[in-house]
Amino acid sequence: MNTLTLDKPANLAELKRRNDNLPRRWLTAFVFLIPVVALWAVGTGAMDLDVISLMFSSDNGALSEFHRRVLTEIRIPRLVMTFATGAGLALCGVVLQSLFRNPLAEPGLLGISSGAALFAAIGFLILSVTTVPETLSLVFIPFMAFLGAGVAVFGLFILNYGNGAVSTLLLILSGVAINATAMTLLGIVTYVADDSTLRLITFWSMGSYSGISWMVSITTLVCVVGAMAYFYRIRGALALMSLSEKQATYQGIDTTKIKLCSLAFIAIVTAFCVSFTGIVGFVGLVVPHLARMLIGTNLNFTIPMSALMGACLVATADTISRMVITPAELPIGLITSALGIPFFLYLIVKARG
Amino acid sequence: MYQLENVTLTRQKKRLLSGVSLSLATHRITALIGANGAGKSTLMKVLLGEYKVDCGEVMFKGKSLHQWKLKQLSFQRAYVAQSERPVFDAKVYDYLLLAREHHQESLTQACRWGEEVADIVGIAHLLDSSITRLSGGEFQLLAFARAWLQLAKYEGLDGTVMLLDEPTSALDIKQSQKLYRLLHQYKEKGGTVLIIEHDINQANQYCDHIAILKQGELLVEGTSQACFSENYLNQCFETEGYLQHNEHTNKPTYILNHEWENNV
Repeated sequence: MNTLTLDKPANLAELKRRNDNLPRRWLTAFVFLIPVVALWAVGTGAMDLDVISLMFSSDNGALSEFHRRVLTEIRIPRLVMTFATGAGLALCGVVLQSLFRNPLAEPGLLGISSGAALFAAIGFLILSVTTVPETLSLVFIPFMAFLGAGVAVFGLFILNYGNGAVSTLLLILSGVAINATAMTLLGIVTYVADDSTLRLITFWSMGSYSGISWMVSITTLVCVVGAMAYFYRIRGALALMSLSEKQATYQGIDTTKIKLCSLAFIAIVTAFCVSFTGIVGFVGLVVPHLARMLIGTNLNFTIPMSALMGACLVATADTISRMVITPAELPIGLITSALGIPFFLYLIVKARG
Repeated sequence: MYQLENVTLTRQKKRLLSGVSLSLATHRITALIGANGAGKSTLMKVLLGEYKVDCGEVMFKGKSLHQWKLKQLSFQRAYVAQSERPVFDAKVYDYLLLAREHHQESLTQACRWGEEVADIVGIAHLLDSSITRLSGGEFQLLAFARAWLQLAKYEGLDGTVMLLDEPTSALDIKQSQKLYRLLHQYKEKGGTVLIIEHDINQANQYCDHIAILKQGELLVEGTSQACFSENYLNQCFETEGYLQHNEHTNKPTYILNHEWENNV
């Protein structure tokens, strides 16, 4: 094996460079799509705003105080939150699918979303029977949802981290068990809830981005960017683990450490994403598949591509949700599911074919 | 290279290996044979460090195996499993280049190694294909190329070992022969091989050494001439057979006794 000469032309490198052009072009396209979606999203709603005209208008009075407040206190933080949660959920999906070698893996699979949903429902129930100051009630539900996500994650770790190793199968089974427990308890909560509380629980579980503050959106964004940086750093290990966990071990990867750190990031990101906005379905499942269909399975590209596509999808879905029945809003979960179901049908038809 | 001294392993109250002592010398192809459930895969897992033994010692290059860091081992030891297809599709070159993931080198450098190994193994024409489009034989050759690429370094392959678990189980006779030819090439370049093989005649034809396991115990270990005997094989598989000289390979072939076969 010492016949290698450095002067030999690297055809494989050329082949790789040539084939990597397509994902690079798609990535660039989505980078440019982000500001387009952003301008559309902030300009659309109960009160349409021509943001570009307002930005370039020579008349300083064109952007009234009211317009400015709509943009800076409502639309832009909401946009940041849709980008952050879309990117975050899609990233969690792509990493979970790689870790578990399971095309159906998504943040909901581990029971984190249902843990949040259960505690949010309990929160609504508590609010319906007690008198809580209005300012406290605004943060109470996100707090409860975050607590629920945390309890689910804690349960997941307790069930799995017994002997220093983490079994992938056991993790999925634990997630199924946590999901089932949370759903059973949620059934009890909804059964005892009165009609108005039931309505609140149902709307929360379908997701909404209304009333998002700067603090929440920036915190979520920081959390998602941190997770993305970590996932991108370990992309080689993830790629090896997506092929075979044992092979990854024999190539020197500490698979238990990678799994635990990735799960911790996924748990935090999912908790932030669902606690403030409710459950936004299908993003974590569908977006990684869409990214793979467009640019292939190389995680060098699939990780950033999933984040960009997730951000665009959720921002688009949120904007559509505000357009359909103006001035009211459709729950965003309905839009993302409406986009996700045709994709699932397409996958089934493709698999049959 | 590998040294097992009096290794005993019990799992779930079942004794899987008892007092196995085995030495894997360098520049040699050793076949591990035995009936189903004899402990071949268990022994492989012990060598890979997946199972910690109850007593005895597993040494790699004179140092206890569990003292080695995974990363250090990965430069010197590679494993080829039975055909194990990935869930997600990928280009063959991407799959192959993952073997260099732990090497600190540029992508261009990794590509050069990849190209060289693909040429040796004869899969250069497949590099731009998708994994899902490969046949079972082609995929097994790719897995072998990946293991080779993992170990490739400028100093040569001296001091490296490849562990293979029934790599020919999904291969036809021509592909099996090709894989063994490649194993010999690997050996000639300095490598050491341990291979679990169900086809005992193939093991005798292509391997320098044979280790026979029976019910978790090492029945015999030595050169293929010494170990490939009616006595050991009948004991190992609890069969009745005889050896017949194969003029083409100039080696004996184990054939089951016709009368015994009819009585089973």
